[in-house]
Amino acid sequence: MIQSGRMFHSDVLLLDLEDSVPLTDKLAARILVREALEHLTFENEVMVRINHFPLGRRDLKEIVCERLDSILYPKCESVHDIEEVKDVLQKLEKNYAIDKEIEIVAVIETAKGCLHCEEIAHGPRVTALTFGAEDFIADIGGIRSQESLFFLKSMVAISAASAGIQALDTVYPYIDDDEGLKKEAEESKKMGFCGKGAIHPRQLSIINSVFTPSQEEIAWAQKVISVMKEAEEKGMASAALDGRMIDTPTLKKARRITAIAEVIS
Amino acid sequence: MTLLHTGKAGTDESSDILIEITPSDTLSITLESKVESLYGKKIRAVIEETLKDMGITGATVHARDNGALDYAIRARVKAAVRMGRGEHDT
Repeated sequence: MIQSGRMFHSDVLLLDLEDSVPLTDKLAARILVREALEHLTFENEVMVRINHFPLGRRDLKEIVCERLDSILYPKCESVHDIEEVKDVLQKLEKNYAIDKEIEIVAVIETAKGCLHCEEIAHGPRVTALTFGAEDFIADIGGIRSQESLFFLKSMVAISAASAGIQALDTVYPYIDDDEGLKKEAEESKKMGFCGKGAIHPRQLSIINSVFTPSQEEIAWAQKVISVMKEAEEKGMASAALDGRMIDTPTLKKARRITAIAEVIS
Repeated sequence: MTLLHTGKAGTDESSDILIEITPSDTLSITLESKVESLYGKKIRAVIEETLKDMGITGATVHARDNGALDYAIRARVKAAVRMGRGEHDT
């Protein structure tokens, strides 16, 4: 049940009202989520995957409350989808006197959504983009592989970066394949993703080990910041570190690493 | 609003409770629970309080508990009542 999810110290706890809930159980599920949000204590960020509108409107009416941090909105295909969700959230927050803005994480899982990634990333309240691999593959009639997902993943990562928001990798569905999970997470990190969903608690330590900056990375980043500060004081925009030229992009990368390390610590 | 017909919510999964509620003139609660002796009174109290909050004074409630916390008991009672009042998504 929901209370068990709090034990595993993930950054975000995702409660699902969409694909894992049959239509006949949607009402009961949203009531359960609401009671959990109101009466359980969560240390994690709490996100709820609602249904695509129009059913999602009923989800929001039931679950929007002070403790809800964010909505995972599936099958986003345009910024209009986001604006619709934002309008409903705004109205409910006002009606229920909620003193915060609930965030939106948009899920790209169709061909059309993929081609509109950039506008979706810039949509109101969107703080992260993620994607649904299986739905996307079904939509394009392909077979799940690194190759068939590459374009979608690139669009998600680049669009998120252009909007200054996070790109989150999708779940790895093979629960017992630790090596495969690590490999996929590492590849996604190289592409600019900063986190990954988990479908089983045993996946969390592997995911965290990939996306958490290592001590070596942090030490390198601190060195870069220090060397670039010296260079700046001398009126220079680049410097040498360990036999390699470093400049503004390197500094940007170093600052990102130290910022993540600071949040985690 | 009164109950129109039987409403049912919950499952037999661990940490859940299955609630079936049927219209009646009086209130009666039948509880099946492995922790009846320890928590039976509390479970019944949560069910009764939730029904009272929803304006239900008469119903036959059958509850089959598998270790549900209060929030889950309340949620399942609320869902069963609302379904019994005719609310659904289909």
